Amino acid sequence: MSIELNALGKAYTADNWVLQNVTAHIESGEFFAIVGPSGCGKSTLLRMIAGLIPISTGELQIDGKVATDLPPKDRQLTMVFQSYALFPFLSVTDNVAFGLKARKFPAKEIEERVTKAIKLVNLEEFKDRRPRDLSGGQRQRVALARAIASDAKICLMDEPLSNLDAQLRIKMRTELRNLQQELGLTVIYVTHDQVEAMTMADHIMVLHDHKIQQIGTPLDIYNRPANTFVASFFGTPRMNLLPARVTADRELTLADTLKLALPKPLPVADYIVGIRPTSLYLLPQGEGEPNAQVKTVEYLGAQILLEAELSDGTPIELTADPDDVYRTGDWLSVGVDGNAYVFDHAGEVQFMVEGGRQHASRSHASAQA
Amino acid sequence: MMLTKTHKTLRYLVLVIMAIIIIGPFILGFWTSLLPTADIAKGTLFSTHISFQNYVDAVQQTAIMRYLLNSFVISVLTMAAQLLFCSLGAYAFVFLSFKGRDFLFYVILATMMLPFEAEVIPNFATVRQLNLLNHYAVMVVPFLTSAFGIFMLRQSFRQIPPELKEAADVEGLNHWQFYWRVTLPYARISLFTLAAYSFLESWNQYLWPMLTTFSDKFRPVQDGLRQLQSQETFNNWGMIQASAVIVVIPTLIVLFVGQHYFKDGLNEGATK
Repeated sequence: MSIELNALGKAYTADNWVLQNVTAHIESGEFFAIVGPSGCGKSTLLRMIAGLIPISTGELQIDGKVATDLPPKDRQLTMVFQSYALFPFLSVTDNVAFGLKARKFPAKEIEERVTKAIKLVNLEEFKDRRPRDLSGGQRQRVALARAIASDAKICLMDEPLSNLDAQLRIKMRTELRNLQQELGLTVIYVTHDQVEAMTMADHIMVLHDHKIQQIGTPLDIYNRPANTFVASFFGTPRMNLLPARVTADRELTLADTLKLALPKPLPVADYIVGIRPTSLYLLPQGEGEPNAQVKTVEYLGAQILLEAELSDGTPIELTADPDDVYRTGDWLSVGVDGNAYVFDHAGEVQFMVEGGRQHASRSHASAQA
Repeated sequence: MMLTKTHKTLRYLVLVIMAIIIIGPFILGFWTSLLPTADIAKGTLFSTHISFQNYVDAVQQTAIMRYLLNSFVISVLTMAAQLLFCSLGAYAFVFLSFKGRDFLFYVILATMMLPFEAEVIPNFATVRQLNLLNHYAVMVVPFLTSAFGIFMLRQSFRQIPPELKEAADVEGLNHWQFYWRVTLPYARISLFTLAAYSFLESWNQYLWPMLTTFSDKFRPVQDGLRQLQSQETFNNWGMIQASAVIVVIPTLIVLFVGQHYFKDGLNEGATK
């Protein structure tokens, strides 16, 4: 069942738009993530699709039929909540059966569906317990089973993993994704965690400031960010955003320190250049002209994350080989050898500069924007 | 913190003294209910003529059983009505949004500031107009709902996580279904509390039934007890005391059964 969002908007009071002009197409059987920082309106959008919050403007279509004003139960969807929303006075079985009973399914079918759903989430031995006797992860599974047991093919999820501890969250990510594939569900998944979106979704919608910033596959979003917000929101460690100005015909100077050769001339203006920490290189200590000073050193195991300051004081993050030793106060010589993204002063992407200095070990799998 | 021995002894001493002050009259009352009236009149409290004769007399010679039945009918009806109407009222104040909702709620709260005694005269005039005097209805109808009950249940319903309402909306539950299948079970502890409270309050009514009932057929226990004393010139104190003990028993049962439900933690696990 596909879903079509057509210029959806939500305003609680006149001209106070919580969401504006949200347009997207969600394919049947797709895992669609809505990502954004707190307060960007992503939960509001999900509740508008569910029918829990009325839509102010625009049109919603589910499976080709207009659903803008349908009550929630006629939209044929289920919802999994961040807080699970289990009924504390019902057993696991009754919690899972709740929706089916409300929809007056025949008793035999309810039993079949509930048994199957509980089995799918591996809760058979807990089926007679109350939610208070379950761990956080098990409660989460009950909430999932409730969605699975329903015959609805669309499942809306509102940050379902954010109350779990880090290890369980990673495990549940895979399980969720597998379940979704197995059952052929269309999932709309709201999260503030970019890693969750990147690892699970077929398509990602990035919301910020009440508007869509970009819609695309995880690879698209990572490799071709539409603006500085998307660029800095996705990827750990975060992309460096450096002020830049045109200093020669085909050259930008970043933070008065680094030079970036351009494939084509740019009109003279202020620009912002985004470079991921992995796209910067370090000359061996003692070589080259020092242009950055180390402020903090973080060991991440496979690499070292250095927070440094360029000679003009602009902070910059870069990664280094864990075998090398860096101390706070060391001077480094930094250069650009990976992809760099040129944004105009408003943050809209202009084009991408592909990696300058080629390393055998680094691939630059990306196309020119 | 470890208490020193003297400290501990002192604390227990204070507790024992307070316990004696509070429980003393009850024990004395129960003890005298076992003594013949002659001994009570003489003041020989440590008599050996202990028997349940007073209880037998009370049941056989007075209308105490009728009083008990009357009070039971009145209290159960009041309790059931208050549970129903207070929960419906509270539901509206929490889950329905309508114009003037908060204002209406404050009006209801404001009625709590008026003591019942201040309303006795207009209420009496009303029930007399309605021809309800000396009937069960006169002791039930004015107490069908209570501002306190609405207030208490509203607070309790507000604790229900909004996600439960949303989950119910997605499954298509209407207000009646949500009220019956989610709200009431979720707030059952508060409902038990309100039930016990309204039962006891009704059971212990004195002023209102005294004004509105004139015959043993409808008179509840508290007024019945008073009746025992004035009926005869010679007061059979042993029997009156035995009747008082009988009257207290339902109260104790309600509190004893009730406390089983008044424990926390029954609603854990709805949301994290």
